[in-house]
Amino acid sequence: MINRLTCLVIAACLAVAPAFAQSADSEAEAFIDALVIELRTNAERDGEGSTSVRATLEQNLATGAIGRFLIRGEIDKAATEAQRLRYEELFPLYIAAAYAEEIGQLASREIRISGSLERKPGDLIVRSALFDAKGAKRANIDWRVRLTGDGEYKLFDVLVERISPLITRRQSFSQMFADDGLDGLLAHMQETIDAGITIETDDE
Amino acid sequence: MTTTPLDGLLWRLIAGARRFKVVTVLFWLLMTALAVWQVVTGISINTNSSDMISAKAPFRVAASTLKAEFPNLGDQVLVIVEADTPDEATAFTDELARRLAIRSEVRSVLAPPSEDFFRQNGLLFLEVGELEDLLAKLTSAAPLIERLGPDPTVATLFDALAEAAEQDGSGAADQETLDALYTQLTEVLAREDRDLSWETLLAPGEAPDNRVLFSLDPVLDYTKLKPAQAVKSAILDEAQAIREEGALDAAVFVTGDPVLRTEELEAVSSGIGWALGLSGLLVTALLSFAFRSPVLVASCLIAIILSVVLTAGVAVALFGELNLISVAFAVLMVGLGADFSIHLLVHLRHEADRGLSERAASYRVCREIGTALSLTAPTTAIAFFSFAPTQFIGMTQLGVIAGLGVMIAFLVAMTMIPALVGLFRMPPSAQLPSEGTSRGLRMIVWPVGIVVFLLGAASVALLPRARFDADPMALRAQSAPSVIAFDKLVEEETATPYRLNVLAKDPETLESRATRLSDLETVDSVRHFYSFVPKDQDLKLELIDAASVGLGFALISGGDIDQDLAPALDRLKAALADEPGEAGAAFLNELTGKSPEDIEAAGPRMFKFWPRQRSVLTEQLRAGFVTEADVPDVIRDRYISPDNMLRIEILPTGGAVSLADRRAFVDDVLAVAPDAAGAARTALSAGDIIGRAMVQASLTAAVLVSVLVFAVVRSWRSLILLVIPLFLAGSLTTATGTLFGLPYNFANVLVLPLIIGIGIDSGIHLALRAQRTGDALAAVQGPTGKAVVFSALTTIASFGSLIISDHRGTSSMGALLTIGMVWVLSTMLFVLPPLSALLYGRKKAALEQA
Repeated sequence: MINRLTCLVIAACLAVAPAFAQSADSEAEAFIDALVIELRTNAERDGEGSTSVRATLEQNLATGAIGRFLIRGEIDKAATEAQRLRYEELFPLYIAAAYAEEIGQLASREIRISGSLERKPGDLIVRSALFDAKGAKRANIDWRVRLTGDGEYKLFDVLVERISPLITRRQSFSQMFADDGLDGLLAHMQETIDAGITIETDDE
Repeated sequence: MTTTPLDGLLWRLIAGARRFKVVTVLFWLLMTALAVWQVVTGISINTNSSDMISAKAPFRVAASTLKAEFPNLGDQVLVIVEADTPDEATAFTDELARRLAIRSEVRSVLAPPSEDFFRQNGLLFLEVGELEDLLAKLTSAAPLIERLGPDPTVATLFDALAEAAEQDGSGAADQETLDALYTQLTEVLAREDRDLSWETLLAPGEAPDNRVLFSLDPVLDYTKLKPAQAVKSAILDEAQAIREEGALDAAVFVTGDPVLRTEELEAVSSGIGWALGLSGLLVTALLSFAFRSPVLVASCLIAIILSVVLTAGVAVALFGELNLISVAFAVLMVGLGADFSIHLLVHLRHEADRGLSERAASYRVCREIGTALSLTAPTTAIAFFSFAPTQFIGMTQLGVIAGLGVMIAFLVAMTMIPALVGLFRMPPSAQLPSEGTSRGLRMIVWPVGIVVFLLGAASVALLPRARFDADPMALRAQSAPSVIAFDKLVEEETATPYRLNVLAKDPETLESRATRLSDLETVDSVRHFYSFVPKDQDLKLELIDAASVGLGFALISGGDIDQDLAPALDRLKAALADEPGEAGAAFLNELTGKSPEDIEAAGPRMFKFWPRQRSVLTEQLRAGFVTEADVPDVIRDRYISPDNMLRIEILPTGGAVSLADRRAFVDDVLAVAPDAAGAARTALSAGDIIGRAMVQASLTAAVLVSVLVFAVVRSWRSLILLVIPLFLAGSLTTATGTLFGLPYNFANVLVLPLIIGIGIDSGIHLALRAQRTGDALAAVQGPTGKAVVFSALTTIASFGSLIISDHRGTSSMGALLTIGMVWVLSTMLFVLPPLSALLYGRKKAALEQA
């Protein structure tokens, strides 16, 4: 049984085998290729959810864009300047911890990149598939990559079987904000960072 | 015996008619012919109940201002499409709206589910939280959407479900969606009339409504009696055509003001022929019993008919256009025309039965009741004219017409009847009231009189609770299709017809007014042109964009192909066997009981609406930033006038279904926006104005009639005998209506003037008899009492049968009229005699002594 987030972690840790020589954006594909290799290497060397895995994610995730997307609207309007600064400080660590925790579900699977496409300038999708040990295709994995103004690629979203966790994570943030306020949300983010556990989301 | 100049005048009138019988008959026939010509060539009826209130009334000024800016607003036709599933309702709406848009009877159609603007940008109109929920639901179903592809089979679906079940709902769809899908599939397999609703499956929270509402601007043909008949037929015909094609099925309901009015005319006219035929028979039977002479019965009926026709001619000549109230003058004229004729004929019969010649009988009648007969016409006319100066134009017109009609009816009765009786001779008869009846009446008159008096006194306490229900919906037949559809609208808070509107000259004013109105507790929301430019678009578009990556891939997928049902079915059964949920178990049970052929046969019903759902999803994901320029003209025209006035539509909290809620809503809005106009205010304000007008007119009538009666008879006692029973009859009628949920409305409000008219007539006859004899009971037992009884019974027989009408207004008129006449009889026959005995006790004793 393959869980979506398991697939994400698998994807991060397994070797990527490009399936097509030609692609819409080979740099984006190369970015994903390198990212999953580094994650896999770090996980195998330092352990699941290790600091090195978190550091890799922190460096390669579009943490600013993801962080803004998750609180944009009601939460952002309600935040004080101090809370906003605290959020910006915590978020890269939090999101890295949240993804890194999934490394615990590692499996020796293979990810093959099948191509990429540019949705709009600077917004690219790298398409790939997850295969099991017997070589059977188990899931589609799409990597949404952003090209920053500095010419760097950053990972914005990972879709397993076409499902984006961004919407459900936003829902979780909104629910937590409604229940405990922004301070409660910040406290939970801190706990996640400390414990290396992710927020329970509907799709998890 | 004392006489007044009126006796002599009346005698000269009757004697002249007797002498020139043929001339008199020919004269009235000529006048009648002219009246018929006048009516046929000149009559028109304004069915708009709002026009029955003075145009200067604040609510009408507001309504006129709104109408000047948005003339077609009140003419919108609303269509409700109901089907077994939301998918079918929207698909049916798509097709119906498409067909109607090209019909000549339709100017424009606004069907949001079928409108490109809403199909593409609909998600932007959701609140952020709602949008998140929907997108989360959709993205979780993306794997299933991808596997099904554009041309799914049962095998594809079952294999995807099997995989999902094997993964505990973490595969093709989440567990909640899976359970909903199991439940629907169970129904689809169990019932051949069920289709799978993909819209329900993919919607978060409550299931979407199986009902779609849309509106259209009709082309109304005002040259026809039923201007909206053509557009109504067009809608129903197109709906039927869609059904007959077999692909789609839905119930279609049509409502809106023009359709309601059209069907109201149908309801009013439906069965009216039978009712009037029955009334004719009853009236003839009653008059035959009263006169025991075909000549007298025919004379009376002719006098009634002539009175109605002549009054109609005068009404059309004076006003041209009548309204829903004034057109009911016919009811008054039958009642009052019969009243004069019956009093004259009963007394003629009575005198003839005593062996007098016709001439002598006529003379004797003039001596006996000449003053009363002559006085009833002007007093009743004055009572009706009292309605003229009020703000209630509907009743003003009726007051003038009925006032003149009373004089016409009097002249017809006092000339035509003597002429006809002279031409055809009155047959002899001799049946005087028996002593037994007389004794019986004397025994019960006091106790019954006291009871009626006490009830009347108690009824006064209920008068403050009396109200005028000016809501036109209160009149209409509940069984009328447009009323059924209207009731469905009222059920839905967001579709409530009880709304208000205010205008703003610029966007800044609009914003300011909209904000103040939105803050009111009784206001649910406000809607205006800028409401169609969604808020928080950047965020919403970002959310849609996030979801569209995966969903976009899922929707362009070709789906799984070449799958066989047998292995997919076996896999699904095996997976479902491990399912802990009830939905899965029930689905497995249903699958086990079906052959593969039966299951395959259900395939078309599983995927009937799948292509549409894919298409809708694809369009929704294409949402772009909406600007004011993107809002379709069909919406713009409803919220921005050609003069660039902006309309704000105000929706009440909870739909303002109850009268109290509507009152609170209207009061709150008027406190902030005194210029608010709309259905919610119109009915309430009209009711208030009419209520005041009725009280004002009744008091004016009471004063003027009292002055006239006193000027003629010079007797306080007679005045008391006239006014008290009359007041009690009015009070008892109003209180009975209040107690039994029969408030005054546009249809039955004429009962009050009718009570005044017949009450004055009867009261004057009995009071003057009591003044002469000192014993009103004797008058009640004599021809005067008989005339009073038969006059009231004739009115009841004429219109009481309307109580069975489907049209609630007509029915309430029949009911209230019957109630009113019963109370008039009760107070005249049982309260007036004891009152007379109290007032004339000593006089009667003196008379007896003499």
